[in-house]
Order: sequence, then C-alpha cells, then structure tokens
Amino acid sequence: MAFNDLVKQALTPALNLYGAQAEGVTVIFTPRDFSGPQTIDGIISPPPLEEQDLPEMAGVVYFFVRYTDITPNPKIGDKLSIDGATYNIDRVKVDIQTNAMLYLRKES
Amino acid sequence: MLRASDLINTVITTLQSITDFVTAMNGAQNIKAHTFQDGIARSIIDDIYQMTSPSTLVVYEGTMGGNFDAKTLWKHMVTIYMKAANVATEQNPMGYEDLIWMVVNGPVNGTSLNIRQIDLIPGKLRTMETPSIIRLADQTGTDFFKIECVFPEIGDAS
Repeated sequence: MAFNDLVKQALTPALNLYGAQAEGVTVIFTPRDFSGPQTIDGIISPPPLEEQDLPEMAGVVYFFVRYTDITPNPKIGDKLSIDGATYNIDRVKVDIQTNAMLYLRKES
Repeated sequence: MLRASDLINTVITTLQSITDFVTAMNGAQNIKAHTFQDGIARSIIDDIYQMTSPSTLVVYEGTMGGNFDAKTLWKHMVTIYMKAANVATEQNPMGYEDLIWMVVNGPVNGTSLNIRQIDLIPGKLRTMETPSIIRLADQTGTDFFKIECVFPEIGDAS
C-alpha cells in the first residue's frame, strides 16, 4: 500500500471522530470555478491566535482537510460556509501526504 | 489638545463618504474604529487579527508633542488598516493598490477634494501630512496594508 494511502487510512477514523460532521457542524465548500457547492468534512484546528469571541465571531479559522478527496482541490479565493458563516480561503498549505490546512477569514 | 476620539470619528465619516471605497468595503458599516476602552474593547492585536474581509479599521496610534513650527504643538497619528475583499470571481478585481488609491485620492464629503486636501476638523486641524503606505502580513501570513496618517493640530485646540 502506498504511503499516502496509509496516511489516509489512519486519518479516516480521526475525521470520523473529530471532524466537523461528527461535531454537528455543516461545512459547505463553494469553489471559485462555479462548479457548485458541496458538503465537505474536515477538522477545525487551532489558529495562530486564540480569539476572544467564539464561535460565531471567529475571524480566522484553520480547517484541516483531505485535500485530494475534494474535487476540485481547494484554492485561494474559494469559499467555505461553516454553520452559515461565510469564510474565504486566504491560504492553502498542502503537505506531502496530500492533506491540507485551509486558512480561512470571515467575510463581512 | 484635541480629543482623539473626535479625530477618529471624523476620519471614519470621511472615509465613509468615499463612495467607491464604501462599495469596495461592502458597506459603510465595515469601516470601523478601534477603541481603547478597558473592559469593553479587545486588544489592538486581536482587533486587527479578527478583521473580516473586506473591512477597514481606524486606530489612534498616539500623539507627538513638540513645538514644531511655533504654532503646532500636537501631531496626531492615525493608522488605517485594510483587509481587501475576496475578488476571485470578480470580472474587474480590485486589490490593495486600488483601495489605497481610493483612500488617498478619492473625493470626500461630497466635494471634489480628497482627504489630503481638506481640513478634517476646520479650525482645529491643519491639512494632513503626506501619508505613508506600508505592507504587512498578519499571523496567518496573509498580506494586508496600512496607511499611516499624521494630522497636525492648530495651536492647542480643545
């Protein structure tokens, strides 16, 4: 089995346990290519600075996803809706195991 | 010395009178002040970090005191922080280069003059000094810009 497949196999239970869907949070991904919105899963991760007003006021969210499981792959400028609040993808950090941390900023 | 909150409020209403800038900020309500009120306001680092997209934050940075030209005792420092909108799907995308141009050159208060050409508070403030524009990166590594402004006070206003 390829290493990336092993990583995916290891991460699947973590996503099932700690993912947004397991927490009852709906995350809708809207790519900039107008291919249409889709529901995705991922893990809301600690941002670089803790915020004083949570959760509805969170200005910055880090969202861990299985990058290659999402088609099209998330890019800067795509949008995510987390429980109804819209966030823009400011940065995408893809690792060698084809996971990604999406840096999200809330839209005004 | 002029009350700094009066200056900040005036800077905000002036920015809110620049039509194109308000459109770019997705409404005048997204051009806001940071206040230093213990127990009410967040720290400045939190306020800048949590700025939504697009938005503008006007911050009082302090006042230089001195006898600058025998008629000016105070120079008030105000910084305008900006987070641009996501323009990924726009046909004519606007970036910080355009936003900065709007703030510096856009006509204000229903006149044909820009913010650099008017006395923001007549009788109390002189025309602002030429602002500096600086690129920054926030804690996530995302670029944004600030405009540093200096407003000399006329004499010792109240």
